[in-house]
Order: sequence, then structure tokens, then C-alpha cells
Amino acid sequence: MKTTAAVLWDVGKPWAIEEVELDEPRDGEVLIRFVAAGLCHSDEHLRHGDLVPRFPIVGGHEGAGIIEAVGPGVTRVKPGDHVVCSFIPSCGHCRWCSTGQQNLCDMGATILEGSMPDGTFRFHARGQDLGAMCMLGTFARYSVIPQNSCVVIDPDIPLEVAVLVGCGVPTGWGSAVYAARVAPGDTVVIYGIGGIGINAVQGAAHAGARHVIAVDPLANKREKAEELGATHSVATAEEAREIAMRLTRGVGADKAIVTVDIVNEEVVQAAFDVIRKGGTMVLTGLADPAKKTVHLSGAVMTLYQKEVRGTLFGHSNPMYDIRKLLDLYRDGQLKLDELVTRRYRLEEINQGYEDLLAGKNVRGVIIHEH
Amino acid sequence: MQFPTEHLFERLEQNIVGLRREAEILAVALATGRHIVLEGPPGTGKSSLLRTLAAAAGLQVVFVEGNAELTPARLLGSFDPAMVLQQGYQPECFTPGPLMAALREGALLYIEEFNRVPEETLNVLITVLAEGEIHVPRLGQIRAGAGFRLIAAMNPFDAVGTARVSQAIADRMCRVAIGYQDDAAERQIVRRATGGDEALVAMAVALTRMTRAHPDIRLGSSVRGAIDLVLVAQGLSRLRGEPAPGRATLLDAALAALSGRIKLDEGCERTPEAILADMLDRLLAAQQGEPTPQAPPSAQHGTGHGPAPPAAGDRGRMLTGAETRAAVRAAARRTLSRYDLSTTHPHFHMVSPAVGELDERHLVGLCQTDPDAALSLLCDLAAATDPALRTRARRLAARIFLRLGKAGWRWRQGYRRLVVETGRAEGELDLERTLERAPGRTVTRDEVVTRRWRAGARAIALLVDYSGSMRGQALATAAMAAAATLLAIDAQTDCSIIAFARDALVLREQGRYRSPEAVIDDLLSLRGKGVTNLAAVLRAAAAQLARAPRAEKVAVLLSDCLATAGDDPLTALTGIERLHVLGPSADPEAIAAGRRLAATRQGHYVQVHTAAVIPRALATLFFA
Ligand SMILES: [Zn+2]
Ligand SMILES: [Zn+2]
Repeated sequence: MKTTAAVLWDVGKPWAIEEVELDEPRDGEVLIRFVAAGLCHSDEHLRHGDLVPRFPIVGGHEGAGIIEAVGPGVTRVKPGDHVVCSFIPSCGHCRWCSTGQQNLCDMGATILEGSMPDGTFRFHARGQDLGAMCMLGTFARYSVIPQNSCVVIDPDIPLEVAVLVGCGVPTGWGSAVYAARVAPGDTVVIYGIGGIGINAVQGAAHAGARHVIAVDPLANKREKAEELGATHSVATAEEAREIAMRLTRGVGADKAIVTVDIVNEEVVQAAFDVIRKGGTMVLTGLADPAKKTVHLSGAVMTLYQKEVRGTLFGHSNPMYDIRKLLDLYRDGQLKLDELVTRRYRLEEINQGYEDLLAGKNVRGVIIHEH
Repeated sequence: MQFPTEHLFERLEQNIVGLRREAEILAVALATGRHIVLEGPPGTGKSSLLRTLAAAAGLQVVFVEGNAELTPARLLGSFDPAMVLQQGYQPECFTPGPLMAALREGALLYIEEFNRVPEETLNVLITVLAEGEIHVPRLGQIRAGAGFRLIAAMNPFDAVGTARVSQAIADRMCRVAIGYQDDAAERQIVRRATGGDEALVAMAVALTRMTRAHPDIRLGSSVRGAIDLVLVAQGLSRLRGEPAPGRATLLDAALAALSGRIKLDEGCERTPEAILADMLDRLLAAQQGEPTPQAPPSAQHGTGHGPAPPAAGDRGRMLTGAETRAAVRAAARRTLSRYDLSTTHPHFHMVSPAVGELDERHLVGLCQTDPDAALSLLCDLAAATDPALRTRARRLAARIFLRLGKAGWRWRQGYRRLVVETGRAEGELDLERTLERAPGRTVTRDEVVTRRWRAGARAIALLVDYSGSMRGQALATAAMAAAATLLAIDAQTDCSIIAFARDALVLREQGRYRSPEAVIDDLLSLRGKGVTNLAAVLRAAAAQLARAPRAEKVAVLLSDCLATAGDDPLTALTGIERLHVLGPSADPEAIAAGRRLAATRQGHYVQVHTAAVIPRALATLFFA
């Protein structure tokens, strides 16, 4: 079939909206009609070369939609199911899946390649195979994706809201709750209030943090952080450090979480410095993989027994955590509606990312037209 | 009047755009001798339709503006005191009012703002409609001329001083509803009135229509706003030397034409100016094909912050305006899954067979067979996670509660009494009695007898407990109490509605308009939470009631009356003159507490087992 998608043909090129050819679902795959797609920074990282995929690629790894058809051997979903896509598939039986670390599933190996696990492609255009970001390509109106990427949700939850729990919300929330292990009474500093940081704020508040200090240079982001649970918000790491030291009588923050859009040495150093002895610093944000962004004093790390952790998907298990977060939303405890600053049509995707880069959006969402 | 012909409508169409259907019904109703209520928002052409029709059909019309001062004597006419003193009760001493003129001449009596007319005046009209004649003391029997008809116009959204038109009147009249005309017709009207260019007219009409759908606007602008907008924008842009009106000019014109015409909902923190500027920008953006930015729900009311943190200590706080809105929004976040709804309500799957669906007829049917189950289900549907179902349920809930709430008010007419007083300058002169007191000599000021309609003005505060487990049935009882209380509002009775747990949330402030639908909607958001702070709510009630200094101050408390926080409620009763208690609980301790509380302020305790008994219970309390 034919469908419309936003494609990156090469690094630095704008998103191109064009008609692409989409194959039938094969073994273990499903045809999905996307209702909504999130504008996550990672897709823009592809365009700027901070992450290097195989080009050309259909963007989008946050998606929610309805299953239209299933290929042979599909057992997890059926046509009509409402689905949130996990940007990492989970097979359910690899070493990682079977030990409660679905976020590390071996099937995630080709998410930047954009091919299906068998190495083939479902999107084609201009005589070339097109990858699909994270095997999803949610910037297409229709896509063929592995059933292992599908998390079936209750149909009474609006898909345009549910789309957020495919990547940004669990990554941020889990960075605080699971990766940083925020405990009641903790003082937590969160650097960078975007789609991930804002949910780290919510996670830290849920976990019972006494002080949640949000750091972002933009006033609208700081305001949003305070609305969703931050007790303090400041523009610079320096101010955050002063407040954290004052609040803890010079001991330092218990946890620091780095959720800036592009990680650099300065923010890593600031986060490392702000934590107390035995404190934990969590690195959630991304940067060009070739760049070394963590240069820290090993002696300080040893003598102060500081812990530095990376986290993918906030240590969350997509099959469990996506549904759990939606239940929290249902009960009014997790705020999702407030995260969406603006909705766009697919054709407006370049505008959407311009707004993201200009710091206008906490979250932008594409609503697909059908 | 002759039976209407096509020719008549051709003549009408030269003056009136659209409204063909309404004109036909009106013309036929007049030709067949019916009395008519014309119902519609202001500026929908009710009076010009009638004027044009009457002129075309050669009928005479007597116009009267309805308001609270339209007493029976003003409508009917009265004897001129000076002339009576000189000549006695001669027919020529009678100064006829509009009703008398219309009766004698067999004309149409057109009363605008009919729902603002006092009830005693309406009673005069009932007599005329029922018997076709009226007896005027010392003047005699006046028969209605052959062409006499009553045409009553009213605005259904007008709740100010609205004594609801009684059933006896409604039963003798036909009703013709006139809504806003459609987009095309409104453009034509504006084009005809202004000669403005197509783009400007379309813009003005679109903006005006937006004012009618905006959530913060209670009453939008009529098409007259669009006409003014076009004329002012044209003039301004000529003055400023623009080829076409720019944004600044359009905004200035929109503010001049519309800001005074729209009425904002109470509790809206934004100014009409800000709302209009925002709507204009959205409209301009849409014209340039830009997407409409979707404000997050929290930004809509301009607070930008979540609910206020709970009060320190146990005293509790009184929240109003934006703080109440924020608290209600925060409460509305808690939603119920379909699974949850289906395990609580056996009828759920029949009423909502699939996501987004609400079978209203099934629910209304259930209301008849098992009202408790129906209302309790409806209240829980109003908190469904499914947004489409939730929206429908809320709309239906407001409708159903207001309909059921009316049941108690049938016999509330006659609450006003005619009082006759001597030596007071207020009211109308009672000539006969005055002359009796001073036969054959000059009347001194102290001997003048007057009479006036007096109602015991009353301020009611309804206090709804939402602590504890507030779901289904309990919520239905609360919504029903609010609906019934709001329906009691008229020129003499006003009410505030306060929901409380730890803090007191003022959902409707005394003397400030908020639509019953909005208040019920708020209540349905409040799912039980927290402690019961009776003292806090009683203090809040006193503060609200104090806004009506000359009224009797009545509080009605819907609660189990077992305080779990705050001071002793008996210490917080200052400022409340009467306190009635509606007790939903069958717990003997709760009943005793409720009785004790009611007794301290000469009130009654009424056991309310189900929502259905609420309207009658309240009617008994208010008007017994
Ligand atoms: Zn993402
Ligand atoms: Zn796996």
C-alpha cells in the first residue's frame, strides 16, 4: 500500500513529506494506523548527526495507533487493538527480557538501522529501502512494525495522550524512580526540563522527594516544572548547587539526573559535584556517541563513593511500565495533558522541530489525519 | 388576521433575512388566534420579525418592556387619584395601561423580557388568557377585542430576575424558538446592514459566532456585534490610511463592538479584552492556514499553577474563583476505567456498549424504572476516563438533574404577598382605602394607604459534604440538591453553593451568576476526599450569606454531620439565621448529630435516603 511519511534522506536535510510504499506485514509483524506521534528530540538528533542512523529513514519512535492487520504468527495483538509503541521491542525471552530488563532486549539492536530484526525493510521510496526509526517510523500514517513493539492498552484512554508514554514519560519518570532510586525525603536535582526532564520531575515527586530542583534556562520550562511537582526551579547549574547545598546543610543532593537535550562535560561535572557522598548521578540525555562527555575525577568518585549510572528508557520495562503509567494517568496522579504544548499536522513537522529547538514546546505531538 | 399567503412572505423577505420557517409558524399561529411565546437569545430578530409581520398583515401592536416594575396596575391601567378626588370614579378618570389598550382595540400585546415580569402581573394575564375578559373594580368588565393576542418574548439564557413563567401561562401559549441564524444568513444580514466587503464581513461574523461557543463566555454577542465590528473596522482603517484593516484595527474594532456585548462566566479570571484578542489571533492564524495551538487545560483559565496546597492546620479555608476552579480541575483528574464502571454498575454495558458511546434513551428509561441506579451510574460515567463518554455523560447529567430538580417547585407561586400599609410612601396608592379613611376631606400624608408586593427576601447557602467515599449515589444526591436549589433562584431568593471536605469550595457565590450546568459539572468532578470540616463550611456559608444583608439567611447542610476536623460546628453558626440539615446517612449517631445541629438554628432535619426525594424535601423546607 501507499502512505505518507516524514523522511530524512541525509544528515542536515529537512524532513521531507512524501508518499512511500509500504509492504504487507510478514511473520510476527502488524500493520498499524498511527493516530498520534510524539516529537521527541532523538529523531532530531538523527537529522543533526548527534546520532547516526542508516539513511534514508522514516522518523518517529513515539507512536500510538490502532492495529489494522496482522501477519502470520502474531499472537500478542489483534486487529482493532489500541496500541502504544515501545521504542524498544521486547521479545519476552532473551536474557534481558527474562530478567526484568526489557529495556535492554536484544531485539533492540537494529533500532538505528531501522530494519526489521531480519534485516529487511518495509518502507520503500525513490527505488530505495527506507529504514524506520526504532522499527516504528511513527511519522508515517501507516507502518508495519514488530508485534514485540506493541503494548496493548485500554481503548478508553485517548491515543493522542497515550502516545507520550512510548518514550519520554517512562524514560524521565523511570530515571528518577528506577535509575536514581529516589527515596522519600531525598533532595533531587534535575538538569534540563524537556519532554524527559519534566517527567523526571513527576517521578521524583511521586517517589517522595522532599526537594525537587529543576534546572532550565527557559522560564516557561521552569514554570511547567513547578506546576508538575518541582519545589524549586532555577536557570543555572550554579544556582541549583547553591540551593541544594543550603537545603541539605552543605551535604549535597542525594540524586542528580541529567536530562538535557545534548549532554556535555559541563553538565556532567555539575551533576557529579552536586551529589553528596554515596549519592547517585543518572545520565539519561544523549550526545554524539563519538564524543566523550564524561570526564570525572576517579579519586573523588572513589573517596566519596559516588555512583554514576547510565539509563536507557529509565530502566523501565515497557510491557509493564507503559500500562502502569497510563493507570496513574487515569487516577489523576500522572499528568499528561499538561505536557502537550502544541499539536501539529504531519506536514508541519519541520515547524514542530523548530519550535522544539527554540524551546517553545515541552512536548509537541503530531496528530495524523486519516 | 387573514390566513397568511405566499405574498406576505415575499414582502417579509425584503426586510428579514432567513427565519422563513419561524415567520410561517408565527403567522399561522396569529391567524388561528393563538397566543405566542417567542424564545431566543437577544439580537436574533424576535421583535423585528413580529413588527414586520404585523405591519405586513395590518395588525396593531402595543409594545411593553417586561421588568420587575411592571406591576398589575402599570400593565392594566389605574384611576388617576387627582381626577377621582374631583369627579369620583368616572370611567374617564381611568388611565388605561397597555393591556387595557390592547384589549379594547383588539391589538397584539407584545411584552419583551417576559420572564422578568413579576408573578402577580402574570396572574392578571392568566385571567385574560383564560377568560378573554377582565374585571376592573369600579370600571367593570372589559372584554378582549377580536384581534387581541399576547406575544411574549424572552431570552432563555437570561437568569437575572427570572421568575420562571408559570405552567398556567405556558399552557395557554404556543412557543416559537428563534435561534441564532446560520453563518450564511448572518453574513447576509451584516452585508445588507454595512455594505462591507466579503472578507471583512466573514471575519466579523466568524468572530461573533466564536463568542457564542467560548467556554468562558456565558452569553455571546448577537449579529449586531458583527455589524458594529464591520462599521468600526472600515472607519478606523480609512482613518488610519490602511488598504484593508490590519490586526490592530481589527482588534480595536472587535473590542469596541463586542467587549460590552459578551458576558463572562463567573470565576473566569480573564478579561473580555484578553479573550477577544486571543480569539481574533486564532481566527487570523486559521485564515493563514496555521494550526491552532492547543492550550493545555491548566492554561485555559490563566492561572498556570496547580491547585493550592492544602491548608496548614485544621481550620480549613474558603476557596473562591480561580482557586476553586483549580481545585475542581485537580479533582476531575481522577477518572474511572470501563472495567471499574462495569464492575460497579450492572447496567453499564447497556448504557455504554462501546468506547465513546452513551445510549441516552436507555439511561433515561432506566431513570424511570430504577432512578437510583440510573443517577448513580450517570454520576460515575461523568468521571469516565473515556473523554467522549465523559463529556456526553456530563451534558446529560446537567439536563437530567435540572429536570428532576424542577419537580419540587410547582406550587411556589404566591410566595409574594400583597401588603397594605398606611403612611408609607412605597408602592402604589390604594385610592379606595385612602378615601375611606378620610371621607370628604383632605388626606394627610399619614393617612395615605399604599400597597405593594412584598416577598421575604432570602439568601440560601447549600453546603454539600464531599468528604468520605463520594461516588455514584452520594454524588447524585449532591447534584440533585444543587440543581433543586439553583432552580429556586428568583428575584427574592438567591443562593450560594459550597462543597466541602477539609476546605470549603465556593462553587457559586452569593449574588453572582453561574450557570446551573457549570455548578453541577463542578460537583460531579468532586470525588470524595478528606476530612469533614463542618466549622469551616459554616463560616464560609456565613460569609456568603452576609453578601445579602437584608435577606433571611438560610443554610442547608447536606452531610452526615460528623465533623472530623476543625472546630466544634456549634461554635461556627454566627451569621446563619436558619439551618436545615439533609441527612443521607442512616447511622443513628449521624442522625442525632444532624438533628442537634438543625435545632440550634430553628431548622428541620430531613432524612434523604435517595436523590429522588431531594427536590420535594427542599421545596418543603423553603416554602412551607
Ligand atoms: Zn524519544
Ligand atoms: Zn528480549
